[in-house]
Amino acid sequence: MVDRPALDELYNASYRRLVVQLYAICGDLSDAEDAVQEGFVAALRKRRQLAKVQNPEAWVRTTAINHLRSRWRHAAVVRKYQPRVPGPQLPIEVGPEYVAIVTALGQVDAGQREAVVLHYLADMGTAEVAAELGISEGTVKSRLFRARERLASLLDDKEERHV
Amino acid sequence: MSDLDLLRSLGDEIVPPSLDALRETARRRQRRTTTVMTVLAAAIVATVIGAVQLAVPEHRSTPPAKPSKVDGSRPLTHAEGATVHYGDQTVTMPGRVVEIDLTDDGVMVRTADNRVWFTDGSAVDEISAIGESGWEDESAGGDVLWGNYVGRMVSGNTGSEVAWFEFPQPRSPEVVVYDTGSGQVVYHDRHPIDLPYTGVTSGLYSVDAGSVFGFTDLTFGEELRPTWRIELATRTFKPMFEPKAYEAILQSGNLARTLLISDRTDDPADFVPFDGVLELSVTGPRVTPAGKQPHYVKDGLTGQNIAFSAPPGYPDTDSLWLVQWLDDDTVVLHAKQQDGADLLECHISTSECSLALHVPSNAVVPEIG
Repeated sequence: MVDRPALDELYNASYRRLVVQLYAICGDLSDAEDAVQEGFVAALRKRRQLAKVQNPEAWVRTTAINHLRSRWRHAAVVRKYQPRVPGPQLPIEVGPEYVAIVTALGQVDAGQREAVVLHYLADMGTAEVAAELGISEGTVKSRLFRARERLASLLDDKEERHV
Repeated sequence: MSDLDLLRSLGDEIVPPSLDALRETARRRQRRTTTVMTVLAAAIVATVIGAVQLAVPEHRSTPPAKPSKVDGSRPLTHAEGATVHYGDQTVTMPGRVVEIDLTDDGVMVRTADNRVWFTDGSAVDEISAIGESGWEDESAGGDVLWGNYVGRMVSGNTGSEVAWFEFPQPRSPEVVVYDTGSGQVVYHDRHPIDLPYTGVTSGLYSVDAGSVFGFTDLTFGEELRPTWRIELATRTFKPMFEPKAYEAILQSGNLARTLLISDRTDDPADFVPFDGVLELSVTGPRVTPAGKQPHYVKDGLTGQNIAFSAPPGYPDTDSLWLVQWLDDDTVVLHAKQQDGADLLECHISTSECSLALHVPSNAVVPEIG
C-alpha cells in the first residue's frame, strides 16, 4: 500500500502539472481540476493497487482522463449522489496566451490531442504513449505528425490574423 | 511544440485543495462500498494465485462475429398511468406503471407496488413480486439504486430474456432471469456475492441468452460496468475484472441492434460495442450524439454513422435518449419538450427522423439495458 507521506509527495509534486495536462485535453480548467481530484480520490481509495504500479502519477493521470471520458450508464443518477470533490480552490483567469493554445488543441481530433498532450506535456515517449492509449507506436507517431501539422497551421493562422 | 511548453507555466497559478479534503471525499465513498471491495479484493487475490475462472478468457480468442440481421420487430411502446400502449394494442394493468422493458415477445411491466407483469398486447400475466430491497442509504437520501435508479429490470435489445432482483427478505437479493418466449424462469438463485449490510450498492447491468451481468462496486468517478456475470447454462458465477471483458463478450455476439462507440477518434480500431443508453441532441437540422458520452457512434450491423436529420422545423433540443430499437434499422428517441415529450422514429439507412407520437411528460418509455 502506498503510505501517507508518499501520497502527499505525489500530490504536491504532480497536482498542478496534471491539471495543466487535463486542461489541454478537455479545454475547461474546472473540469480538469475535478478530473485530477477524482484521480487522487481513486488513488486514496486504491492505495494497494497504486503501490503495485511503476508510475503512480501516470496511474492518476489515466484515472483522471477516464473520468473525463466518463460514459457510464445512468450517469446523471449516479452523479446526483456522488460525494463531491472540493473542486477548484480559486477562480483562475486564464490568460489569452493559454486560451489560444487550448483552443487550437480543441480543434484537433481527440485521439491526436491526447497523444500530443501525453508526449509533449507529460514528456512520455512514443512507446509509453502507445501503451497508455492502447494503440500501436506507429499510430502514435502518425497521430503526432498529423496533430503537429494541424496545430502549426492553426497557431500560424492565429498569429497572422493578430498581425 | 514550444507553444505547449508555455502551458506548463499555467500550473503556477493553480491552488491545489488540501489533500485532506480529498481524503474526506474518499472516506465517504469508501464507506459505501467497503464490504463489496473486500469481497472483490479477495476474488482478485484468488485470481492472482491461480484461479482460472477469471473474466472471460474464452471470449478473447473469439474472432468478432459477422453481424447478421435479426428477425422480427418490436412495436413502438410507452405507458401512461395504468395503460400500456404496445403498437396498436392497448392493455390496462392492475396499477400505475412505473417501468417497462421490452423483449421480442412483449412487454415486461413493473407497477408501483413492485409487482412484475408480462403482456403480449392482449393477456396480462403476473410473474413476480420484487419485494423490498432494504438497501437504504441515509447519506444518499434514500435507497441509492432502488428508489432512484431508473429501473429494476433489465432486458436486451433482442431476445426473450429479462432479469431482476427479487427480495424474499430485505437485503437478501436473489437473481431471477425469465424467458418471455417460453414463459419460464430460467434462473433463480441468491445473489452471488454476500451484501450483508445497508449502503452496499449493486445492480443488474444486462442479460442475454448466455449470461446475466451485474455490478457490485458502483465506483464513483469511474465508468459503470459489469463486475460479474452468471453463465446461465452452467449456473457459473464469473467475476469480470479484465478491461474490456464485457465489450469482448458483446463483440463475440451479433452486433445487430448494438452501437459501436469511440470517444477519441473515428478510427475503426478504436470502436467498441456499447449496449447502454445513448444521449443525442438536436441542433438545427441535425440529430447527433451529445452529452458526456462518446460522440463517435456507429451502427453495429451496418457500420453506418449514427446521425440523423431532424423533422422539418423541429426545435433545438438537448438530451434526447435512445429508448428503443424497433427493428435493425429503426430507433426511437425520447425528446422532452415543454408540453410533454416526443417519440421520434429515426432510420439509420436514410438518416431521417419523423415524429411518431407526442406523449405526456410523465409517460413511461422502455429502458435500454
